Amino acid sequence: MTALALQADAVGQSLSFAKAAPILAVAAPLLAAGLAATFKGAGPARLIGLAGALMAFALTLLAAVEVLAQADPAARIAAVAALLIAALSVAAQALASRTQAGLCLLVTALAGGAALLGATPVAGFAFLEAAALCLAALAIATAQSRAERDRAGGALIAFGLGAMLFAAGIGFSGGPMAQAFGLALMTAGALIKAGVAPFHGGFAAVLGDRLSGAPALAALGLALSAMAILMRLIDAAPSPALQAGLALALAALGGFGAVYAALLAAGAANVRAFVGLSIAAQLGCVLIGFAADPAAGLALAAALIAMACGLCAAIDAIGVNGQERLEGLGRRAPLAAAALSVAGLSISGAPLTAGFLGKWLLIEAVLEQGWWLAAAAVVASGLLAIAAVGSLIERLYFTAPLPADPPTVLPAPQLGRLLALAASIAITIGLGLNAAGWIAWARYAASGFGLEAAP
Amino acid sequence: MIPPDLQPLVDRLYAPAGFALLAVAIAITLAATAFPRRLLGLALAQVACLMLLAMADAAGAPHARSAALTLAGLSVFTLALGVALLLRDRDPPNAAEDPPA
Repeated sequence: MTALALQADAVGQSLSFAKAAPILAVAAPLLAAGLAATFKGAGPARLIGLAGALMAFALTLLAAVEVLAQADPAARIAAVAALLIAALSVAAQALASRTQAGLCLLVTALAGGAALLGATPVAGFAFLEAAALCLAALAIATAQSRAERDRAGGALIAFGLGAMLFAAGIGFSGGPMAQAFGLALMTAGALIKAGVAPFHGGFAAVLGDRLSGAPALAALGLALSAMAILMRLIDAAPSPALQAGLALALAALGGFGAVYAALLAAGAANVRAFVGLSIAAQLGCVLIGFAADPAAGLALAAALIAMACGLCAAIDAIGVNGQERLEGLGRRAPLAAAALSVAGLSISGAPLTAGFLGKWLLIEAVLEQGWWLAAAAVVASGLLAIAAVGSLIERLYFTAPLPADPPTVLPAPQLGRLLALAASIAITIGLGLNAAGWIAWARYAASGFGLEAAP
Repeated sequence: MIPPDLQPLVDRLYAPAGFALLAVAIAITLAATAFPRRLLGLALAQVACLMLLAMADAAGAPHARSAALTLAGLSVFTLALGVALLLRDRDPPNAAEDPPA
């Protein structure tokens, strides 16, 4: 009996609450998602989803505080990424419908798990794949016709190919060439889930023309989780030369993706495509940031989350597909139009917004590495965004609706959506006005992880 | 069981066969026209990848076995989903759901 009591005491000491927090942060929302799926009423399901997301955020915060006290820099960055994903999860639940609530919670919980618990490539891979499968399942489950289901199935194919590449990469070990090849395969596999153009096909298939707020935010969570895994891959590269080469390759891909997606966004046919492609362009910038200096990556990721929250809530609040119906919306839906405008300004890097400081840090970091082309890509994507956002703001505030246009019927206001819109505006401008603490925090989280600057 | 005198030949052929099968399966996946059929191609590609991981495990690569197990789970899921959707699609289409073009 005494021996049993001693054993139980030892187990109790080794499994303190803080140590169990990362596991609980994944398990609690998974349970909540299962519970939410059992309720037929929209109210209880959404309430349980929101409670699960809030619980996950609190537990992830606890886990992140514990991890930030450690020395492992890649784990610290991943923990902060998990915290950002948990924040996204709360925003997604605020916008989710009954069908979306449980599956979105599954996606964000597993994506957070990949960042928090993905210390080894296999652990990160397993969580990431499960999250991607849930995202594809969400699109297939909410498809309204066979053609739409088949298009959503394209995401399953893309994510499945990515899984295969990542798994094949894990198997390569031995000589330096084999290790480099394996690392390249794993990177390609993770990039398919990072949503950076031109690897955004899976996300486009999931979100498509019916992009709505909650799934888009869940997809962004998956993308951030994939980026945390990419950071771990850079950290685990067997030699400094390989580490630097991988970072440079990611920055090049990020730069290409940022410009490519910004070009597509500037010519987008409707506001949903504009939002999706703008987020993809910003993901390219975040990837450059993570590759050059994770502090810039984290700062830009926080800015992206704030603006994506506003863009997605605005899309749900407007409920229109064609950009032509945005005319005069500034008067009919002032909060949604304001959130769209503020997020748009942040995307283009306008001063006094979070995007400005994020881009400032990013350009500083890439110039320190000597990556001039990446800096040019960031500036070019910002200029393209200015043109697109200028047109958007003109339509919202300075163009009267055409007499031939049918009157736009706006969806009924919803508390969660209004809160998301207000929070997005407040955070985007708040971070832009009071940047010192935010930047210091990002630098603290990313301290210790550094590529040597180019000589 | 593979006869001992054939083992070196199998070892030598395993990687090229795996890579060839992988390339063919990816090509089938991308060339297949309809979504459920593509899933079957993907499952085939994942099985080919499992062959490569088994070889890597035998060569002592760390984590290869765990990755193979995870991928095996994924390939079973992919295959099951593909077969289920193919069987479901054999039913006459719902006119209300898929109106003629």
